Amino acid sequence: MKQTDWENQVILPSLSSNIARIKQISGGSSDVMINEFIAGGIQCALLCCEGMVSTSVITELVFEPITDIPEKKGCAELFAYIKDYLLLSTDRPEAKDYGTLFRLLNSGFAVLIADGASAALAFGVQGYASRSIQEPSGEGNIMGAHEGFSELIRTNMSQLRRRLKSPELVMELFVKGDKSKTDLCLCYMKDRVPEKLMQDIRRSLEDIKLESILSTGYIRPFVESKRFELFSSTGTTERPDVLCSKLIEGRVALLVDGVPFAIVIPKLFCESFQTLDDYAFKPYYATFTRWIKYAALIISVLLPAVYATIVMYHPELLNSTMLMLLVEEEKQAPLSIVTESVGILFMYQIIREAGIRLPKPVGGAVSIVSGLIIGDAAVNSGLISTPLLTVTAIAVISGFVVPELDPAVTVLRFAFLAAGGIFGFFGISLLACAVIVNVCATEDYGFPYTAPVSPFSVSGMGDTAVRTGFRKMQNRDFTVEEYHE
Amino acid sequence: MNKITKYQLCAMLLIPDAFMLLCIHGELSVMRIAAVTVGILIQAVMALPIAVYFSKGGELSEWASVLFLIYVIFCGGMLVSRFIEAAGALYIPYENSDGLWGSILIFGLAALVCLYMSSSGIKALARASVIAAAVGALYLIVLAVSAVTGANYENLARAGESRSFIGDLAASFPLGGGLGGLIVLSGLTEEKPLKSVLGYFAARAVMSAAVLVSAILVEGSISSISDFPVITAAQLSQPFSSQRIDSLLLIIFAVFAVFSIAIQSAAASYLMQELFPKSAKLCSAAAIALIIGAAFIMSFLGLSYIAAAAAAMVAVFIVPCILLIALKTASRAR
Repeated sequence: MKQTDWENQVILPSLSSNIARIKQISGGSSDVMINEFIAGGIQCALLCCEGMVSTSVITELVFEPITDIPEKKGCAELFAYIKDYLLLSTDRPEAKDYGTLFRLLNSGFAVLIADGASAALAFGVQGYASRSIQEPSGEGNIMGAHEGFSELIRTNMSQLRRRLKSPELVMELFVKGDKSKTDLCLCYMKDRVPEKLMQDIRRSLEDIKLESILSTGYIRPFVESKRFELFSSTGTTERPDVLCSKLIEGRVALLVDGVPFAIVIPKLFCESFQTLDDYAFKPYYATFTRWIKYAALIISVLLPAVYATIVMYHPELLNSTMLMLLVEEEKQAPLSIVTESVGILFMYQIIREAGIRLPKPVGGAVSIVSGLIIGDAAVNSGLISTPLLTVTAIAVISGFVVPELDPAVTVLRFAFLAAGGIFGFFGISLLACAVIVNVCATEDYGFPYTAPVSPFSVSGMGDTAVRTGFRKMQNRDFTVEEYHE
Repeated sequence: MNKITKYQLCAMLLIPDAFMLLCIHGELSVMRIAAVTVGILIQAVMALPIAVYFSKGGELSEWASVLFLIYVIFCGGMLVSRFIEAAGALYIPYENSDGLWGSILIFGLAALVCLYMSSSGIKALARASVIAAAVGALYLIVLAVSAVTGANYENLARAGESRSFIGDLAASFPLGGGLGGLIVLSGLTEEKPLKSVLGYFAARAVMSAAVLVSAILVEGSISSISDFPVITAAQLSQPFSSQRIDSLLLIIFAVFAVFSIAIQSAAASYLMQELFPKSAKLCSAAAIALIIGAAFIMSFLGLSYIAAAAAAMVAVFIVPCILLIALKTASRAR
């Protein structure tokens, strides 16, 4: 029997056949608990998934009140009594088919079935073990809150609600994934978000026909443009405070159950350089750090390529002291500059991957081996030159300043190095043109990724080129619709 | 929708002009600057009918689209042939050392980038043009500052006066690299294009005068023996005590070259899509191929200034005048 056949099948009225059917569908899975008992003189069974419900809650709030129900004439009267007189939990959906029943059961609900009833009552008594709210690992800050999203979608929703107590904040829960039945939540401020954007996003989400959704990466291609884009036109954040600021600006967020990140739609390039700390410090300092980040991006992408190009093709750009120093160092290296650069960058990527995937204590050892032993030995043996290693290290460290862009920056660094090493500044220029056009063509639902730089918006520069004070910003009443084309 | 803003229009039109200025041939003189400025003024007057036509909501008829397409390809060809000529004056690895195959590699690569850029669409190109124009403006400021700091003002007087004013005026027409784009792109602006077009010509006049004066200040009479006087001026300029800005020039040259060609190609592709909507996907590739073909024909035949001026007169002035008269007649008949 195909899975879809049982999903739409109506719940059987006979309790014994019903239990047999449930066992058949679940394949006798050990974690499906079936507790048979009599309530109100009617044979019933309470189903739950082991480890998904809170034992104390289910005992106190469900078992005790249900077993005290006085005699009833039939299952209809029993269910009506439970619904009208017993407030067993705040979340009390009803299932009429096995698809809904199993979705609720596997989401941590306790499901009550009764003899003669072709429906089931469910009670939200979830109590599974999960990670508590912790500080975000990838979006640290100094002056802001230290709470990040967790894996539980409802906890994440509550974090948003705690910060935005306005009734304008709407959170729509829905389910996607044929097998995983993952809860997704569309969040938006209904007074701020453009109606067209909401319609378009809903239409895009309808296209999702995945079997499972295990990370934000499964969803993002459906809400992004189909054309090849170097940078992603949707963003992610693991900070509820950051997400709240995006929602207030009229953006839409998508929470995914089991993932401590939210997807933000649409995303602008300039936002990658904005952090919550920018708004905690004085504007002049925030502006300064922002320009440091812009410079870091350019250094990260171009420095190895420009170094190789200058040394190989355009030494006239250097003053004589610098030129002599580089000549002295490079003439001792056995490999060409491009080969050396590619080799170092390649090795760095291998070490990075090793450091990320390995357990933390071993990861530390990888850093020591790579940084101290390999790096030092390679320079001392003359395999690579010190200036080149310095340049590569600066480029790599600069890439960490804006971690969100790191995947694209890593690939571009290699591409620019190859272009510069083969064709000099001419190659770098051609590739830069192609990259700029690609970035400028990046657009999601009519919101250009490069706004407010191009198309240019003077008012948008107040939080891009500089960071204006809140006295000015409070009068602006900005929403992202300003940038819609 | 391919709507662009007035700033994007100006950037898209100024980049080909700036590129043509970099590749300017012949001796520079004060009279030539005056001729170029007057030439720009004449071109501004010539561009008024098309700006008015689009401001009144006119749309291109099929025959006008065909004529404009030919002119855009002509302008693109002019830009490509200048690019090939001027690339020899700069140090591009492989292009100089590996003979014909090196050149094919370099120009093939540039053509591929142009194809990618033009196929990304006019809107993306317009956004990117603003960024490229800003980078170019920064370079021109560096060039002007280094020229002024190391300038010999007697060079203005020393610069040659070998050609006639009329000759210089005719020579200013091929410098209008953006004219091809103007007749197509001004119809795509969000606002009425008249102000934008006039703003573009004013900016172009200022830019041309600034670049040419800077070049004269650096070179003086050497421009008569230089193939590309502005490129030579950049090579001679030193913004600081030891650094030269040739490499910076190479970056700007490459960026402006591919943007200029891509803009003409995108404009041609847009017209082709209007004419042949069923073959829309092939239009960018066809436009690039036609532009390269036009460049080869021009290289073989040699580009005459008079021919360029005549082509500009027909495409930018006469055809739009006919369109404007037809539009007025039609509105009166209604």
